[in-house]
Amino acid sequence: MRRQEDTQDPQRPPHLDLLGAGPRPVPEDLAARVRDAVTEDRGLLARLRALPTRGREALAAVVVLALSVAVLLATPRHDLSGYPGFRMSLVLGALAVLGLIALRASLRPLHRPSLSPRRRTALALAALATPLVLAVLPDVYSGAALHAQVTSSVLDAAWRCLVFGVVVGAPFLLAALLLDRSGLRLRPHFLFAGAAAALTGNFALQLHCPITDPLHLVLGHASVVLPFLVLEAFVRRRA
Amino acid sequence: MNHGQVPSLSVARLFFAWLVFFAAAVRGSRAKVYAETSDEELMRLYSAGDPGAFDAIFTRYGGMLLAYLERQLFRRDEAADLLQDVFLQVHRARADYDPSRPFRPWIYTVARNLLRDHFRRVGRKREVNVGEGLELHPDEGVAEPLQALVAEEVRAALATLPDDQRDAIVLHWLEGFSFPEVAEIVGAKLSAVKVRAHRGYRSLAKRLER
Repeated sequence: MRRQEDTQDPQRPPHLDLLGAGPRPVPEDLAARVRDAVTEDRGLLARLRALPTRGREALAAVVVLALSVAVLLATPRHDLSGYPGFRMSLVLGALAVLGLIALRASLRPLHRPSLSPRRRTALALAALATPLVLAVLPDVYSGAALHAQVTSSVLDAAWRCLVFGVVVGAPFLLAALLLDRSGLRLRPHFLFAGAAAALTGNFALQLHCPITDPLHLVLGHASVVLPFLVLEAFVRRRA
Repeated sequence: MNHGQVPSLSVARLFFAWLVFFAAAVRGSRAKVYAETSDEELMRLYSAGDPGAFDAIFTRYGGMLLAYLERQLFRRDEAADLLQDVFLQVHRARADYDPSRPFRPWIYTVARNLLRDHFRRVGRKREVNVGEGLELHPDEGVAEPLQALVAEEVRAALATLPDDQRDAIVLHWLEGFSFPEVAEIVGAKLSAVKVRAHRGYRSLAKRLER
């Protein structure tokens, strides 16, 4: 059936002519509105948004890099030298690749076809699930000894990390808001900017927090995405 | 009366008239040049900083896109708002445009993406009710009441189709894009677009038979 549909040219649906063809006359006030909107689109923000997409993506990536370097310099994890290099590369690599994909999706220009619903769902699920999977991976290194030094309560430590991750991720969301040509007004753009912000927060936490307890990682690190999801839902409801 | 001022005034007036004439001639010749310039070249000129090229693009595509948006939205005010957004996005994306690629599918992709986002936000449900909020355009040539009723039915039937089938039908049969161009606009394979058009046609025919 599908093969037949592939090869034959589809028939013209009935009565379509009744809907009218050809251009409509554009009212002069509408033409003036369009010209005004374009003329008024100037200043630093307009120039940022008018950058080529590669440039906007590079700027957003620089923001992520700057945030990560700032965390590494200001509050690095105490066990950085002792932490297994392979596991560190795996975690940072997974978060970076996924974050980059989410970043590109959030700044996707409108002249490119939008991502299919299947791809959008897959990316959103991956952004949600990856930090969770990384949190429950079998332990290759015991940071438990450090746990007691850092804090006395699991919930307290998780809360601190959650706040830290959100605070580090938020500037990325702001950068995406400035760089996106629709100001993140388009729903998938805001969703993916939130996902990229959460992944930035997770990336920074991996460089900052020495606790390796899976419960802590789930409650304090993987859950960084939740405030961004709540924000997305709030913005969507208000739109 | 100082007779010496008369000639200088006349010279000034003559010079001013010449200036006005020269500006009009330049404007006229530029308008003629724009009219003979391809879409791709106009967009290249606009990216290079020629604001007149944007006006020429708007003159060429404003009415076409307004018709496309009105046919899908059924509300002229919303179509007008979206048209403004489309051209604002074209303006912002000018540095991304590659003149070796055809411009028409490029600008329609912008319009389609904004339209889909609009539908995501407001939903399509209200459109399905025949006659509710419907505005028929006087240029549509639907003078007969019966024809107008059928046109409303067609609109309502189109509105019930899934997005992908509706896109294939509208872009191919109403906007005049070839199937490969439709595939480029919606970001799907050619075979997938034809299948969507087939299925959309069948659903539409079934619905209109009732």
